[in-house]
Amino acid sequence: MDLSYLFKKNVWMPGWGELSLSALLIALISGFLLLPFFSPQPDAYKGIALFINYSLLTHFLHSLHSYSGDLFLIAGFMHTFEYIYKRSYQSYSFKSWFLLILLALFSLTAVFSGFLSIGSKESLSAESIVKGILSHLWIGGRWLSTFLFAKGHSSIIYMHHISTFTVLSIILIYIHLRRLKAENYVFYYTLILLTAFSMFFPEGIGYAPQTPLETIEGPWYFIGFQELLGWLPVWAAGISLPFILFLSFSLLPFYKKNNNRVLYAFLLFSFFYIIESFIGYFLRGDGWQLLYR
Amino acid sequence: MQKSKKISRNAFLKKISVFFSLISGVILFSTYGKTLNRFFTHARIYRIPLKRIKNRIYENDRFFILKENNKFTVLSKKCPHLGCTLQRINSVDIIVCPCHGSRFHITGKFISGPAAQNMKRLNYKTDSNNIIIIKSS
Repeated sequence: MDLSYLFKKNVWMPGWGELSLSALLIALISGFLLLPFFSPQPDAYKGIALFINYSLLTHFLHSLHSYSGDLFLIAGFMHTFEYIYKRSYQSYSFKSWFLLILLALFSLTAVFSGFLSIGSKESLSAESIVKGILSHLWIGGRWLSTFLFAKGHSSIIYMHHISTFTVLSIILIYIHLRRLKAENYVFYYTLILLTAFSMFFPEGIGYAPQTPLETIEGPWYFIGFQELLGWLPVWAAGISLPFILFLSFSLLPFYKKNNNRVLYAFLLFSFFYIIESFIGYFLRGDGWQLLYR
Repeated sequence: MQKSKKISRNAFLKKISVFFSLISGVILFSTYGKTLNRFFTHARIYRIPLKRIKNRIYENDRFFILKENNKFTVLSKKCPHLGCTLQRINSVDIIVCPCHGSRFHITGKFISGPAAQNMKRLNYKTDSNNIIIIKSS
């Protein structure tokens, strides 16, 4: 299977890794610029809504921050795909590869904790789901839940978003690349792309927590997972599957055979996940019922 | 013939101590986990004035209270599946979960969906003016 065209570098499509790093830098800068406008409120949603409505500039910066997080994930996923396609994992030691898997995990949690800290109806539901999954974890679930959300303190997940997960991601990126500066061309290219996107499609912050909604969807990258949780028991979809994925990815350097099995497994899972996301996004109606019901 | 790799005594002791620490950590955590959980749980008390419960069904952001023949049924609004806040469909006596589509009758009885269990009933007391709900979390 020849998919090399997906990873060919040219003027309009620089490398996925570099694109991902540029998106992260833009997310960091826009997040840093937003900080002075943020005044913590007991209701997290109010705090975010206040600085969104403060001026056009803050709304633009929030959109830029949000879209750069999304691009960071997409480019990061494509970069992982590139590693699988080119069998780069074979040249890594287990330790270095494991640090990359941790980087992928912390990148995802950094972006997801941003979604959770908005305090909207959707993010509060996502928080309940995460707590629900953690309560099924045999060891350490309660502790992890308290660590992430600390009862009654909605700002804790925000603190994790701006410090814990972001700092850990940056450290692991530095270990991976030995630099944090993106190539100039790619950085400005990404900045122009995201600026245009943020100007034409300003990002909202979801519904207020009190709004009665008959369907609640998580962030786009977790809709497939939300759908899976509806089909399978929590221990299977919420605990075993992520654990098996994490374990399989971590052990890839030990798979030295020169065939495409890993690539096919990766593609099959991605295809399955996209289908699940499609069902969740387009075919679910009121009360999370399939439209034909 | 391949030579077997020699491992130094220090390295061997280091590896074996990490291994046994992990095993004992798991055993300790699974044995005393429930005791530790007590530090993370606490009960909350909610008072709802009885005069507010005028209709057959009363709801706020945490509970559904069903009043039939002057008897109350207090149900948690948290879905027993993964904790999303349940919504009532006003025209019928059905409660749905907006996150994964579980459905319940207004009495809390499970109808369909991934929750596969009834809604959680909460203990309550009444005094002359209030209904007092004790909820552990």
